[in-house]
Amino acid sequence: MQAIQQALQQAQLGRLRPAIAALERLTQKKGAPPEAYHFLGMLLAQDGRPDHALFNLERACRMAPGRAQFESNLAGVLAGAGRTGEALARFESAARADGSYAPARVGLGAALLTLGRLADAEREAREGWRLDPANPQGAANLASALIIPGRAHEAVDHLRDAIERIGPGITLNTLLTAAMNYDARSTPEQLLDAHRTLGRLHAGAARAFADGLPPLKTPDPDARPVRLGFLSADFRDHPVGMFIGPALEPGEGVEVFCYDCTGRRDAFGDRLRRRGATWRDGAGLTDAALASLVRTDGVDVLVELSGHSLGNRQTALAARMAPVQVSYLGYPATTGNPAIDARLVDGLSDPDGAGAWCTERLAPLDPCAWCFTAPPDGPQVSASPAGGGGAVSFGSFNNLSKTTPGVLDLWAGLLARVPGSRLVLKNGAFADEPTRARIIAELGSRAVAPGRVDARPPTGDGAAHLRAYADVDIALDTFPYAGTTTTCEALWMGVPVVTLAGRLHAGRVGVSLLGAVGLGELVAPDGASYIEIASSLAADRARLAGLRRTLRARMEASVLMDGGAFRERLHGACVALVRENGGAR
Amino acid sequence: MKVVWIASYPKSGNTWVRFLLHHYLWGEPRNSLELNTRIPDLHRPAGRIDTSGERLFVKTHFALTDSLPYLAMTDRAIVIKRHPKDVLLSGASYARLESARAPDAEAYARAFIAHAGDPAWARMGFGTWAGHLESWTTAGRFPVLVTSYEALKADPGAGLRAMLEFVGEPVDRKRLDRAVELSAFDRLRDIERREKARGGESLFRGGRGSLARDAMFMNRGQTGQSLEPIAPGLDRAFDGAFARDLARFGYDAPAP
Repeated sequence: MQAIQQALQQAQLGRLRPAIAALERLTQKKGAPPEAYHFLGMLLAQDGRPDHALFNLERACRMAPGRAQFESNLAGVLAGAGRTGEALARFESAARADGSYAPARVGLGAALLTLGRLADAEREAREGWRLDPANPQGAANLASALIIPGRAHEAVDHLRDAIERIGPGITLNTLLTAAMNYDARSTPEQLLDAHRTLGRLHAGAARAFADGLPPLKTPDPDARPVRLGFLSADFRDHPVGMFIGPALEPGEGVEVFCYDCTGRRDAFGDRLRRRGATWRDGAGLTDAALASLVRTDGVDVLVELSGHSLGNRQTALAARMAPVQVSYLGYPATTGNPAIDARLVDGLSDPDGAGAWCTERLAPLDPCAWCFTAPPDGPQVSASPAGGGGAVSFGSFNNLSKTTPGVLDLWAGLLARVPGSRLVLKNGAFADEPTRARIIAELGSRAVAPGRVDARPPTGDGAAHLRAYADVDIALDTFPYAGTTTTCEALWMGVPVVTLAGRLHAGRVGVSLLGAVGLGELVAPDGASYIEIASSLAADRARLAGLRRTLRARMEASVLMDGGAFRERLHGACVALVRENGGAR
Repeated sequence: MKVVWIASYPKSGNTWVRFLLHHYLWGEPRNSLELNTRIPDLHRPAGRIDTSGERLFVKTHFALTDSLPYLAMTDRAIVIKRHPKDVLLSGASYARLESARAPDAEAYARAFIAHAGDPAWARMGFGTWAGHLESWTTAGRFPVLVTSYEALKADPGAGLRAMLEFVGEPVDRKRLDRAVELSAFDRLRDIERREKARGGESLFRGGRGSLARDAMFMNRGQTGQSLEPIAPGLDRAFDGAFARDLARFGYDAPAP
């Protein structure tokens, strides 16, 4: 055991490889204890060699069956390798071996979340959090298990309590800002304050490596093309991928570099790669390495597309990777990061005064900050379900996280106003039957009988998802966090969308999208108007039928689908920011 | 996981049955919310439902339709019926306690009679009193045990035994007696009083709103009541409206 202790001490001092070598020598000896295989597996995992790690961890588990720590750590490596189903079984085995072993319950909660078993995940997350209230991952699991099914308000309360107990940190504060975006109780002041705090945390983390980075290159837009970089973990079949495409093509006087932190390639991402940009692989790079890469490439303006979403690189951004850094598309609020200079918005999403709630300056892409690219395999627009004179079907295919209690209240009010109408809901969270049951019961408690609600689990592919609009006459947007992709998809399938205009960007994307296709009259200033607009539209079958017939063509002819104009606007705004910045940094 | 429904029209003894089952299967809950975790209420979604076991009892007031959640996972159902006149009286009392805007007892009773049940409950998907019972007892989708509030009140031990046998639980006489004792109305009212005095979350907080502090979710649990104290002639109106359904579901039809 002494040899194991020495090896672990070496590893703690950063001498990972010698520590691994020492444990490998030990395991080659006859009678090596299971601990040697266990710790060797853990260090190999740390060294980025999951296959070797798993071999040794499995051996340790075989040698000492029923050891919760061994099972749990093996499960952790399996989870890290994306083998979630196997990880779940091992975490369960660890929890059976020792029900009070907190890491197993925390890991179990995370695995269940990944598998979409939300109700089970919440139960395990609560148990993990109860057993170890100092573990940020345990607190994060519970927060996620609350945010995903539309209970952000509970997540906000839980996270405030957790941060109070554990102290601030990037993981928990990121989740807090995310949850606050969904929570109707959040005021603009509170949101700005929470994002500023998060920005400071990233800035603090960046100080550890910022001084060692290569110098920033000074832009010279008059002498050489502006080098425009895009940074994202979502260059794939993802909303970001669906909206950014045209901007990735080089333009006059603009070179485009893409820093791809996606980690897994798909056909959608491959199509983006054929748009003419220079691609760099950023997945797996440390923040320091990523920042060095971007600086060495001499990017003049870097557009980050994640905000604080999953896979974001806000810490690397806080160390400043480019002279001008811009946030766009992947996040509906200020980043709070002092090193982000601007956010790309438009006058409808962020009207006069909106800048007061951002740490960045607002750079407008008027008339519309979004450009929708229709899927190549998209289905034709179908007939309206109410077309034959039957009941009207309202629908929302938005993420359930956006379907908060206030949204359910308003939808129930609308269904009460339109007798016989139905509500078609469809989202990934409904793959979890307890979550689906909860929403049906929540609507039931608002006097919406289950027979009027069609709560559908996700469909297999994008085309099937779009075909489901055949069962919807009028789409209902969410608030205070409105839809983007969902709104565009509904419109493209001939389904008008009614939206409620919020005060902040997150609640105003629908205002911009509807404005772009000339449907500003479907924007409601308040809840009563939302019901009035949706119920009036439901009563006007001729108008519904007309929209069904014409919306796709109208959208395709609009600014919302004009990729060339969008590219020029976005590139132009970025070049202007470089010029205004004057290479002063 | 297989679901065993505890299905009833509102104010028919569903919570009492859940306590009976909990006391037998898991012992005395630390508080009423623990009951809600083990035997969740579909209408009081807590998100803390334990779906890890092989069987989950779930309370519902929904009528049985194709839209019922968990339908594909259903194993069987325990259906509780209660005389609609007692349901009406309990419902009137509950509505008044839950909302200051609730109609007075006579208006409530007349609406209940006219709509064959509480119209608000119908809008929530519970159906009429008879429609609810019919949906659960005639669908033939899965095994159903129908028990009546009146029979349970007369002999709770026999009622609990029948339910346990229906779900395949071995019956232990001592545990059964203890469960019945712990589920006595006065004891449940004590739990409610304690939780109200302490504040915080409680099973007894009412529906979407909150019950007034001095109001009791666990009402008196009476049977064989009359509507005459509310307004003369109400009993006759009720009997006229419900005679056929009462006979259909095993209650003595009122004398003509």
